Amino acid sequence: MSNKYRDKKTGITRREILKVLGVSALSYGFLGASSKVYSKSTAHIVIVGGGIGGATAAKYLRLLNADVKITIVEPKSQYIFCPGSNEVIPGWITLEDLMVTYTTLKTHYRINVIQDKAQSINFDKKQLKLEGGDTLTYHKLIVSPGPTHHYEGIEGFNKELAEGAFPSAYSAGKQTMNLRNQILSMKKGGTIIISSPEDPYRCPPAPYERASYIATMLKDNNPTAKLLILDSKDDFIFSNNYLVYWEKHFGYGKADSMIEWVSKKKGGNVVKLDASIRAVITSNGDIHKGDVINIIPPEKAASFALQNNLAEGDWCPVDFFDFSSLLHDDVYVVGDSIEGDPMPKTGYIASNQARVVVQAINDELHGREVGSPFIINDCVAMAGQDYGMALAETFRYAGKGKKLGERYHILGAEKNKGKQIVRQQVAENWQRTFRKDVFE
Amino acid sequence: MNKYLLRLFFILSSIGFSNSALADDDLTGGLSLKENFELAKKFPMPSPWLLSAQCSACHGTLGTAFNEIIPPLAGMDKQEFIKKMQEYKTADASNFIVMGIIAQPITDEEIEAMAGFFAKLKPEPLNQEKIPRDVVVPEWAVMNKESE
Ligand SMILES: Cc1cc2nc3c(=O)[nH]c(=O)nc-3n(C[C@H](O)[C@H](O)[C@H](O)COP(=O)(O)OP(=O)(O)OC[C@H]3O[C@@H](n4cnc5c(N)ncnc54)[C@H](O)[C@@H]3O)c2cc1C
Repeated sequence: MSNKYRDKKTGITRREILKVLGVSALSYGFLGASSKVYSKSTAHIVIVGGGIGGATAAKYLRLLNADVKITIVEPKSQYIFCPGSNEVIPGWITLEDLMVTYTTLKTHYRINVIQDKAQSINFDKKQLKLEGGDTLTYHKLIVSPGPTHHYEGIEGFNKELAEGAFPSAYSAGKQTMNLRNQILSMKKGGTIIISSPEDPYRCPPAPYERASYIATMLKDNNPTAKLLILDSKDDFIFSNNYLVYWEKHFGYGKADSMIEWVSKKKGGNVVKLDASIRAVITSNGDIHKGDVINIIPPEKAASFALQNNLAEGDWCPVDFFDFSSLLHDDVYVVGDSIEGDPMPKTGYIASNQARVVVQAINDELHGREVGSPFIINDCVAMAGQDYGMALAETFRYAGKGKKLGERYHILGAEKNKGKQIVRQQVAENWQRTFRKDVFE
Repeated sequence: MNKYLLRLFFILSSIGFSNSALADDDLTGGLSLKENFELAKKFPMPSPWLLSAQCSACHGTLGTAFNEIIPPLAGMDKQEFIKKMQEYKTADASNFIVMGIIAQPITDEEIEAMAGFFAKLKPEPLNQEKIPRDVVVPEWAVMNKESE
């Protein structure tokens, strides 16, 4: 590299700076200057799933490496973000706001996006077979297919019912609109039931955020209606905020409260749906009838991961150093499908796991020692349009075969109205920024 | 953007800056801060790229997005970044959103590495007009009017 790139103040070359920073020429180019650092590499990195984990992996690998060939396999032509999808239920935003396409990834980041479903992996030949018949040969395979909503985990429930009269709405889409429309057209004084699943499931606060929004809708449109949350857990994240908010706005804890939460211990554990009488049945035999029934079913790894022997039990085990599969070489798994405890299953985490993976792959391609992982999770949830809350977590490498070392801090209920609103605004702001960060 | 900034300034002016400590009903857990720092020392430090990329989900890709409330990190003066992060690390954290709680477990060396990384970048948001808005909204996703 010629002297003209020498930094005036420090005298070091841009190449040296980049080396110190661990950032590639392309990312630098994308952010301003442009020069090539890496030699041509023909490595082909194939990604299963163009959701939050998969799209982030593709984009950030390109930021690190200008030459590598990157392919995403994703059956849908556009992705709908789940973060924000609870706000669609009361109509504060639209599903359209949450929709993104793969155009920028294809054109700006030169990522090959194949609209198809991944079917099977031949681990020896390092090949991925697609449902459409194509076969892709990979050097490294990154798998981020999201979760399976295990509807059958609740007796009498299934996918058809969730797509019809009993929407789960736990992947943003048709079911989200269905749930919204059912609530809007519910009879006066009717009952809505939300069944919240056992851990682990994606976005732990989302059922309670949803409950808050629905109660807000009811307060405006159907004030004599009731909302019953039946829980398969004894506590939930941000209960230190939600319960305070519910007490203040919906009379929580009083006999005539609009909103009621029943813990597992108190008999909230839903095990069965009786569709014929529109009722759910809990493990102690209680029958609860609902005009609108929203069962959020238990989850497990995506069927692609289960069928391809990437899981042990319900989830995919990984080495937390680089999220490589413990079961197969040259395969990495991120996002909701992994056994990631103590990391919760969130989009924020899926994207940050993806960044760890692509750095590891890129380091390996360049024959460098792979850097240590480090993962942040921030969650900004809302209780209403006037109240936000926040938590922060960091996850550090703790050694081979060990879980990551977690440190968390959940903020308590904020009394200052102005601060409540600022937190809510930050939550909205985050959603917009996050969508851009992953897909633009 | 202006709409949000105006709203933000309005809100901030109504808050007043009591330098109060974190609320009583905060919940912390997992590793203690001390254990967290010991763990950090045991293994090589994560790369400046990875540390900084962990901020992208809020501050935009590698800290470059300026939008509305959350400010960019790219282009920030190195010393300024270090100073701010060290302020956030103190017990009566001056930020009531996440910075006051996210900065605490990050080591001084890591903060310095991030400061160096961001200082070298430019806060250049992608030109919005260039981003195609080519989603196709299916009929079922169109909001009905009832609740508006
Ligand atoms: C209501 C709700 C609110 C949420 N709010 C937040 C929030 O505020 N913050 C947050 O961080 N997280 C939030 N989440 C969680 C977040 O959406 C998930 O954790 C995140 O999407 C996980 O990313 P992923 O890549 O694992 O899966 P996904 O984003 O679901 O992507 C998986 C992709 O893989 C594709 N796929 C599946 N099988 C195949 C196959 N065989 N071949 C090819 N492609 C396949 C799917 O079509 C899909 O596009 C929320 C979730 C819900 C339900």
